[in-house]
Order: sequence, then structure tokens, then C-alpha cells
Amino acid sequence: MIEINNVSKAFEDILAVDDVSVTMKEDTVFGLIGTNGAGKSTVLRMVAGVMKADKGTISVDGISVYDNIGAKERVFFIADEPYFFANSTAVEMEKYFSTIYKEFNRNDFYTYMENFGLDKKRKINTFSKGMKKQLALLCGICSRSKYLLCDETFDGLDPVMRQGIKSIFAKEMESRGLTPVIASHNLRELEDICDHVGLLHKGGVLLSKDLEDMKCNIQKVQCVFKDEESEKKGLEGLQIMKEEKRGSLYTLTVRGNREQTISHFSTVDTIFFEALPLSLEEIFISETEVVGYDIKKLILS
Amino acid sequence: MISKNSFLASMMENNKRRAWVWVTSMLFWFFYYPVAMQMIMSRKKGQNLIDKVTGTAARNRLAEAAGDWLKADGVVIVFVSILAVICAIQGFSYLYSRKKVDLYHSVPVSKNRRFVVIYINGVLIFFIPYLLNLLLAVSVAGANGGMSFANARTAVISLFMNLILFLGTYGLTTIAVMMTGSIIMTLFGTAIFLLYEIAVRLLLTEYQSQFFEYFSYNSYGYLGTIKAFTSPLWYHHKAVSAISSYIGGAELSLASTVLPIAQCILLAVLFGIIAYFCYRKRPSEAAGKTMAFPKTKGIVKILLTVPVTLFAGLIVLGMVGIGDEGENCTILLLFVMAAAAIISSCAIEVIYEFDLRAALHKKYQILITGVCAAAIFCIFQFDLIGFDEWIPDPNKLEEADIMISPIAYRQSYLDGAFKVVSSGEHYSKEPGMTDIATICELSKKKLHREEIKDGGAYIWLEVAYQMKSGKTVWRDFAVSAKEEDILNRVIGNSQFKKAAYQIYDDSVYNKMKEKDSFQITYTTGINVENLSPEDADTIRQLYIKDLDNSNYSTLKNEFVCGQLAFIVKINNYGTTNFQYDIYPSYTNIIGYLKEKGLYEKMILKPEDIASLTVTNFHNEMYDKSSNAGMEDWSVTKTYSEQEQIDELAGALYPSSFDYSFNNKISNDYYVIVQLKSGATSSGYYRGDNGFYFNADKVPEWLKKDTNYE
Repeated sequence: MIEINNVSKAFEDILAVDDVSVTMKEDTVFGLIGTNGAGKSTVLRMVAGVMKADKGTISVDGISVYDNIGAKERVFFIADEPYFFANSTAVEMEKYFSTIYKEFNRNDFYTYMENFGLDKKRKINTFSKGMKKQLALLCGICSRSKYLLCDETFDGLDPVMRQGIKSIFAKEMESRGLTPVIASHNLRELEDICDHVGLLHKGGVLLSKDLEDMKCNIQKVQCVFKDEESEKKGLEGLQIMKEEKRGSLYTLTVRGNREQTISHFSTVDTIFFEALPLSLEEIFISETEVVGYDIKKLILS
Repeated sequence: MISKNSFLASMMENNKRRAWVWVTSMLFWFFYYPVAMQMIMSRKKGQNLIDKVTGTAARNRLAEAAGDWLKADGVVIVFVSILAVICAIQGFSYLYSRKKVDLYHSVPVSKNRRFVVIYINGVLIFFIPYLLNLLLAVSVAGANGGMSFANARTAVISLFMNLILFLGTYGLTTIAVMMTGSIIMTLFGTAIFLLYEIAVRLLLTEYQSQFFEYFSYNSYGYLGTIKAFTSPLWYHHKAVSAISSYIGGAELSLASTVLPIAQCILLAVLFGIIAYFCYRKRPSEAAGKTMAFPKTKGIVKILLTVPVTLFAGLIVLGMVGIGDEGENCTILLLFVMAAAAIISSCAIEVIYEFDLRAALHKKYQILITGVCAAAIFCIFQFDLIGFDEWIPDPNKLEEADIMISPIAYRQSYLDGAFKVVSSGEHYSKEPGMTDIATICELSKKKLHREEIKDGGAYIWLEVAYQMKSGKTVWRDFAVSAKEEDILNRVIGNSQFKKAAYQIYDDSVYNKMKEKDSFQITYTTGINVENLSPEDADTIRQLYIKDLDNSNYSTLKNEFVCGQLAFIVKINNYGTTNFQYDIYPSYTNIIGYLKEKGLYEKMILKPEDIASLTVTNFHNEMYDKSSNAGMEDWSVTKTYSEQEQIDELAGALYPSSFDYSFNNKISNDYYVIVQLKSGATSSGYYRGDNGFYFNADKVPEWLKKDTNYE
């Protein structure tokens, strides 16, 4: 388990991460979502032990991570722009990581390389951006470290590759308890892969919840009330996060589980009522709009 | 715990990314050592054939040439320094890149181990190619018959000294890498580390020299040598000098040989340790920034801008001068210094931020620069430290080394290692004068600049006051030549004489005497006669007896009539003369010379002179004419009438002798003597083997005859 407790990090005058506390449980895929500049990369870099937190603690399986080999052996960090040695090939990178990670699985590495159609003898600097990300992911998976920190790694991967990686994740999670932590601002890319989501906003954590819980606790409702009295009654007692009215059609985003919401509206006279499923993107927009931040344009890339 | 194998694996892995540096190092040493050595040996062998030199002489030539090359100085020192900078920057350059830092700092390798692997690899990149190629060069020299024990020693010593230089520069550059976030800033930082202290010391020296009347360059080391405790170049220079002197034949001594080398090693180790701590503390996010530690930005900026501002002030002072004519230029001075403070602050801020618009950020730092520079300037301008007013407190003064220029700078001095040292260094090691009352009285007699400008005879002194606190205070000043009483008490003082004349030093004298090259000569300025080395003890004792009885009045009122010289070969490269003047009142040594029949024989007799060629330079014209240096006012006449020769011969004094204390010698005239034997005292330049006149004895007819029309 990765525990981040009250962590802050400033770059001179800019507070990049402000009092963040998040727990990343084992055997789950943790998605770290946030707007640009929310502090996702900074959090991951601190978790990887690249940077030291100004305040607070970060531990991996109970071990403080900064400059601690014991903790770092459990973590593999794939930066948003992964670095490969100048003029190196995949074989050379494998050799490097093999000297660093004692359990690096060479057989798996070359098998995956073949499956993904990556030429192990080709110079990496001739690879496309997506190929480099695939290679970085394969290095990370084959290092057999428990936690794999991916900073915007899935951005730019084609759907086939994403599916391939997802299946490898599933296999590794089942076989050895791999815990991927994926940071991205692209919600669509995380929705189908994450079990748990942490929402970062302006350096702080807005929420950190299981994806299913989150989906269950926010509902989108469309309804047309019969009269003003039922309208008043229908809107009362609801924790409305977002309200839109077009003509007599209300579109409401409300907190609460599906059953409670349906039960509430069953007591109200409505001409039309429907509870719609919410995408992660809509949940994210709703949560951030509550704190007065319009991020639609930013996250819908 | 790091296993040996994994450590070696890390070293090997690190080396994969340093291949080009290995190749550069290997190529340089390969061409510098075995290839060049073979070329030198071939050329020498060719020369031997041309010169028909064979056997031992031929081998000696080869060995000498090989030895010279194995010293590995000059271009090697430059290359070693550059390689050290390259190794440090290339090894730790990953710190400049965020992408690289993300990789290296996230993998499970401890900071300690990563630093040690990179640091040691950098040293090996220098050392292994150097050693291998040095061994090859030694083999090449050996195969050609050019090796000897001395050459092997030279090779080992040069390897050691260059390793020390490498380690010092490498450590310093590594510190610069740790403190900066880009290669340009690292190079800038390295240059500052290497030269900052030297530059600041030079600047302060120049300020003291400009503003303080009695400033002495000796305050900054022996005879103005600028020390730079933070610069490996300075330590290396010191260590190389020490070891060269030792190889050259000087004795091994703790102070002059071992200490400089030990300091060099300590400095290299210290730089390595500082670099390690900086590495530990360096934040990863510093990659790509100008400075790795934001808190140092302001300090570094002010440390740079203050000297720049003061330097600008110094330039103005150099142009307009200090004093009456400078007072009108205060506005110019203030303007230039303010401009320098602003421009330098802005420039550094622009570099820090990589943004021209950032020039005027942190204006308060410009203000701090201005205030600091102004405060330092005022210290000098108004002598706020009371530098010139300072007179030693008799209760706090232990002793004083008094160097009287005409004596100190005409003498040669050897140290305990039989190495020639400067007079300042020699005096500092000798016990000083303890007659506190005389020292304090002498200090009060110092003349102001205005008094010296007015003309008149005066004596320049450099005094090192050794305080009871252990501090040494240096002052340069002049006293009037008329202060006969106080100068007699100084120059007549036995402690002064023992420091000033090394003939008193039994240890040095005995070492000189042991040398095969030791000889004693006596000259009257025109002839030189060797004295018997067997009489050395007698000659020394007699001279010391005469010296004991001499004082300032002797030097001032008498004319040098001869000179003894103790000559000794101090190393493989040259000999040193220790010259001691003989005055007419030195009856003991003159008695010896008379006894040996040398005194009368050596005196220039009018009957031996065929002619005298007198040149009157008309120095008085230099003061009158605005065209000084462009015109020649000299008038030269030759006199061969015996009557004229008789009259002029009595006024002649050899120009090679020193008459600094005796103002009766006129340098208006220069005389070349043509002897009847055919010999001549002629020389191309004044002060050679010619003669001067006693000004009181220049006949009126000669003045008229050589008058300028």
C-alpha cells in the first residue's frame, strides 16, 4: 500500500502539491486524475522517490520512499517522457534494468516485445512516441516491481495496444499482485482501466474513491414535474450538484445511490422521470464544478 | 551492503555511457606518451648520429630528452584540467535533465552508491589511460636506451602531481555541477571557483595599493604572491614548485616540500567531500534551472556584483587618479560604480531567469550590492581601518622583520632545503629585530607621499611587524636618508644583520661549502680573482668581523671598493651568487686581501689606463624638456692625456657596485676604460662594466668639455 499523508511540495513560489493525503491500495488500478498543473506528476515523482516532499510523509508498504532502496525496489516509475540512453536499443535497456532490478524477467520482456511487434535491436531514438511508451511499460512490467507508476503513459497508445497492456496488467495483478498507478488528465482513457480514482485539483485532493462507489454515489436524473408543488417537493431533500432546466425538463446531478434517488422521485408526481448512468468524465466535471472550476474544455481532449 | 559484483556491474554500466570520454583520454595519452616518446627518441638518435655522439654520452642525451618529456607539464596541465572538467560535467550531467533525473533517481540505487560510482569512474577515466600510456612510454624510452632511475622517478612524480591536479579540479567542477542546473552555468561556476579568490584578492590588493600610502604587497604573501586557498591550480603550482626544487637537488623539508603536497591532497579530498554533500542535498527539481539551491542565488549574485562594482571603480581611479585631480571626478566615479552595480545585477538576474524581462527583478539586491560596494569603497577612501595611521603598540609588538630595499633585494637567500627563496620569505623565517623602541621610533619617522614627491634622499623599507597575537602586519614606507641616528640603530643591529646577510648562517654556509661547485671570488669591478676555497672559513670570519662593525654611516659615507662573491650550484639548472660589498673601513678583509697581494693588484691604476671614454648624459635636460626620451642629449669624449687620466681615475667607481646609500655617486656620467693591456670595460648598457664618477670629484674642465650645446 502506498500512503501519502499531508504531503506538500513547492517549486520556489509555486505550491504544486498542497497537503495531499491519498492511500493507494494493493491489487487495484489507481487512477490519478487531475487538471493540467494539478500536481499529478509531482505526486508520482515523490512516490517514486525522485523528489523529496517539503512536508508530510510518503511510504510504500510502510517504508519511507525517499532515498530508500528497499522502497524503491517495489516501485517502477514511467515518466511522462521516458528517458532511454542515447543510441540505445531495447536490449541495452533490458540489460540496464536487469542490473538494477534483481527480479527483472528477461524472458517475459522479449516475449512481450515480440507480441507488441517491437524490434529489440532497433535504436530506440527511431521509435515513435507510442512505441517508446510501450517499451517503457514493458520494462516496468518486467521489472516485477510491485507498484508501477505511469505518468500520462496511456496517452497516445492506440486502442489495440491499450487493450494489450490492460490484459498484461490483469495477468500480472492476478499472478503477483501488481498495483498500477496511472496518472492522466484524459478521463476516457482511465474509465475502463481504473478501480480507484483520486481526483487532484490545484494541488489538493478533491476526492479519492473506488470508481464503482463514485459512480453509485452520483446520479443523473432527467424529469418533468407535474406542477409547481411537486416540483418544490421533488427538489427538496436532494443534494443537487448541478441543475439544468430546459422548458419543463430538469436535468439534475445529485449525490446519493440509485435506489435512494429512485425512491425519492417515486413519491413525487412526475410526468417523466429517468435515472441515467454517469460517465467518469461527468462525475469529474461535477465534482470540480462544485468547487467553481470549469474544466470541460481542458479534460475533454 | 553492496556486493563487489554489483558495484563493479554498476561501474561497467556507468562506463557504457562515458565511452567518448574514455576514448578522448586514451587517445590524448597515447599520442602524448608512447607515440611522442618514440618520435623524440628517433630524433635524438638521429642527432647523435649527426653529432657523432656515442656510448654513455649518447645514452645521456636520450635519457635527458626522455626525462624532459616525462615531466609532463605545460600542455599536460592544461589537458588534465580540461579532462577533469569534462569528466565531472559528463559524469553528473544527467542532473541537468529532468527526463534523466526521473530515470536515475527513481531506480533502486542509493545516492551514495551512484555518486561513488560516477565519481570513481571519472577518476579512472583519467588515471587508467594515463598509467597505461605512461608505462608504454617508459617501455619505448627503455627500448631506445633512454630510461634511467631519475626518469622513472620523474614519471612517477609527474603522474602523482597530475593526479592531484586532476582530483582538485575534478572535485571543484563537481561542486559547480551540484550547485547549478545547466552546463553553461557549471562552466561559469567552475571558472568562478577557480579564479574568484584570486580575483578578489587582486582587487583588494589594488585598492589598498591605490588608497593606502604605506601598503605593502608583502601583506599578500611573499613578495606579492597572491595566495588562493580555494584554487587547485594554485596548490598544484605550489606543489610542483616544491617537488621540482626537491628533484633539482634541494633537500626534503616538511615546510617547503611535504606541506604543499599535503595541502594539495587535502584540498582534493575536501572538494570531493563537499561535492558529495552537495549531491546529497541537491533537489531533483533543480534540473534545467540556473542554480540548484535557490537560497544561494542572492548570495552568489552579491558576491559577484560587489567585486564587479569595485573593479569598475578601480578602472575610473586608474584613469583619473586619486587626490586633487581625482576629486572633481567623484561624480564620474559614482556614476560608473552605480552603473556597474545595476548592469551586473541585471545581467545575473537575466541569466538566473533566462528572461530579459527579469533584469530588474529583486531590485533590493541591486541596493545591497550598491551599499556593500560603497561601504567597502569608503573603507579605503577614508581609511576607516586606520591603515596609514597605524603605529605598532610597543606592548603588543613581539619583533619586526625590517627589509631595507637596497640590501634585501641585492642579496640572494637559500632556505633550509637549499632552495633559493625571495627576500620576503627569507626574512619571515629569520628571527626579527626585538629592539621594540627602535622599531617604534623608526615607524614614526615614515614619510608621506608628498614629502617623497618633494625630492631628497630617502631610504625605502618594508617592515613585517610580528605581533604577540601571532598576526603579521606589513607596511612599506620611506624614511629620510638624513635620519642617520635611527638608521644606524637599525642597520647596525646584530639581529638585523643576521637576517639581512646570510653569511651569518652557519647551516647554509656549511651546506654551500660541502658543494663541489663552491667558489669564492673577489672583484673590484674590472677584474675578478678566485680566492682559495680552503680560506673560506677565514674569509667568512674576517668579513663578518667587519660587517659587525658597520652601520648606516658606513654605507652612506663610504664608497664600495670591492666585492666578495660566494658562488654555489644549488641545483641541476644553475648557480647562485651571494655578493658582499667591501668598504674601505673593512680592514679585516682588506688585510687578508693585502696579505694575498690581491688588494693592490686589483685596484685600477692610472698608469694602466690607455684612455677614458666619458659620456655625459645631461640628465638635467630630462627634467626641463617635454621631449624626454625622444632626444639624445648625451655628449661623449675620449681622454688619453695622462694628466687627465690621473685626475679622472681618482673619481672612478665601478658601475656594477651598489651606491644606493651614497648619494655622491653621479649617474650623469658613464665611463668606459681602455686599458693599455688592450682590455676594455666596455658594455652596451649603462651599469655594465663601466664606471661612474664621484660627483664631488668631477673636474670643471670635464663639465665644460662635455657640455650640451
